[in-house]
Amino acid sequence: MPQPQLERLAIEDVSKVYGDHVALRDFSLDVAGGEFVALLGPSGCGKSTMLNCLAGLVPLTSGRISIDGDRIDPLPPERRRFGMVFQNYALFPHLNIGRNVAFGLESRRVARSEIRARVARALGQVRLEGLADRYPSQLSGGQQQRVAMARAIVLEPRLILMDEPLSNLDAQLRTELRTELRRLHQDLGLTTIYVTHDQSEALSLADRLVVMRNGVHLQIGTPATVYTEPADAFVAAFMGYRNLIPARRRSARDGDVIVELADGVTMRGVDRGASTDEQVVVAVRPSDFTVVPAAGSDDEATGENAITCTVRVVEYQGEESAVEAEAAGGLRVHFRTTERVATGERVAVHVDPSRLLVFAADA
Amino acid sequence: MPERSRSLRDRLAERGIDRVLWLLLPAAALLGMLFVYPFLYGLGLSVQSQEGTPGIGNYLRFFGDDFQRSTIAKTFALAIPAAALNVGISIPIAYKLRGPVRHKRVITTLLVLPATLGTVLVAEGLIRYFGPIGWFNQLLMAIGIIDAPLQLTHNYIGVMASLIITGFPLSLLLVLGHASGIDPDLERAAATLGAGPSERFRRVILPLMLPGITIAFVLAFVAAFAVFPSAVMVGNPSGETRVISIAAYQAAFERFDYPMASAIAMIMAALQFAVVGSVFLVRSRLYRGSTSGAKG
Repeated sequence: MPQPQLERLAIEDVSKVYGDHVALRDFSLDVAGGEFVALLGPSGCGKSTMLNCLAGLVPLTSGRISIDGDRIDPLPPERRRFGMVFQNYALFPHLNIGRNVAFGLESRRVARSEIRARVARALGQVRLEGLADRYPSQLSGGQQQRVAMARAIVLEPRLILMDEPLSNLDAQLRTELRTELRRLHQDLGLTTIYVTHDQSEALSLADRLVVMRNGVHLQIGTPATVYTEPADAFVAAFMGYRNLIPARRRSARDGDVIVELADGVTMRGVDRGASTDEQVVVAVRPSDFTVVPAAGSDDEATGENAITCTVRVVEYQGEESAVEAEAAGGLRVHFRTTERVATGERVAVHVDPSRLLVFAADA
Repeated sequence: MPERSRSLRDRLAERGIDRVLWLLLPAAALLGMLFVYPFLYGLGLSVQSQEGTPGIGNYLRFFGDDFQRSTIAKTFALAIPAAALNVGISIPIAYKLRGPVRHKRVITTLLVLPATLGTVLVAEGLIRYFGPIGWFNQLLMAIGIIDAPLQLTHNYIGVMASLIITGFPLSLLLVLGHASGIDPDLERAAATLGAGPSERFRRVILPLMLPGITIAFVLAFVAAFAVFPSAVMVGNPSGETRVISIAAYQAAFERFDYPMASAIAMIMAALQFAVVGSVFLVRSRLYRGSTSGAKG
């Protein structure tokens, strides 16, 4: 595997302010050579702004970016030697595929024979051999995005920046190209910063995840860490904790905490920074609920960490069904089950205390 | 056989020939009355003498007379540079204004306003402000750049100035309209690929603007070629700005020689067609597709 061309990219206290809107606030991040880092967050969280700051397309308001000790933030984009892949591909419509891929090499006055060889190799790497004479409009969306990849990697950039490169593609193609992106990253020893709002994309591609909101990062960690130990309720929501239920804290013991849900049901869970606040948020993944037999007619006597509820909506999803149910007090519970449940049915769902996370309420 | 006639109708419909075509009739009739008939009538008139004898005598007389023939060169000398200048000035302005620019609406309005003034008002303004005792010459003399007033009106310069003031807004609107459609990510992509500002303009923006530029040039040329009021009012209509439309006017309304006037009109049409045709020939070799990098 080729060696990465940089050892360390350092983003230090970068801020970007548009008028009175703060898009990025004191953002810091260290990226090691060869790493695949995903910036994940909803639209407007600052992830694309950060990427554009890295590319040099947006000037910083304050802070510094350096590579192996050399500051790059004052450099214009054309002097940074980064590759960038855009969401809408941004292929030059008036140039054929070969000329699109050759564009950067021509800018660098590379010899004609070498351009030909490198363009052919790059098109081979993205599996588009033989399409050099076509024009972008004659290609499918997936092919266009591969051309955009080839155009970036042909320059052997020290850093690749990708701005939601897969979000204009259909679901099947997205999964396919995702694998190819990861393969290219590994085979070519690239260092990649990848912006997305899709958590499954970020989890499956990245070595490290940066979850962002309102211009700051909430959590930085490996996909496994962020997935299993979200730092707060917002990150939890992004990582598939669909049940976020406001609750009151009752008592705590050995890292466990007893909470009372809005309807008077008490449950036990893991304290995840809920500290001593009375108002907390309880987070449970739909797949962490299991359906248990309802204990007769007594709604509140279904055993520890269980809620009795009435099934409202059942979405059939093959192996499993996604269910929305309503408990006492209008509380909505989402769970997944392989059992057959019917709309209107009374069921009880149980969650293991280790799978019930209790966060501070203000996140 | 009904079977057969139906399939004929289907085959025609596949090629777009069906009863809906009758809806074209009113438009076709209008074009025929307003454009085709007058053109053919003029063409017919131009190939006969005032007494009605057929022949190409009018054309021979026009090209045989230096004073008449020279109007072609004079008209081209105005129309080509005027069109080139109007479009040429529009390109950098459209390039700057194509993206989100602060006060874009105000700037565009100010730039386009002259188009609403009309040739006569502009000509009057030029005579007043750029004349020998106008403020422009007064100013230049006051700050000592010149000793005697510059002759800026009633000559070639005056007509050119008028053509630019009235023609530039249209060119700008056309070029800007086309440039605004260019996906800004294309220039950003070029930058990340290592292209500096001038290379980005030359290799990405200009090629994508060219189709709009050629259209703007053609329309600016046609408008300037038919110049008449400003050539009379701020030009020298018996000398250096005696353009071809003045020759046609004089034939028709001073000598009442309608066949000769028609012949001159036909010559104008042929010359304009030649220029427009060759520009479109060049344009057909350019890229004319989508100006966005997204999947089209």
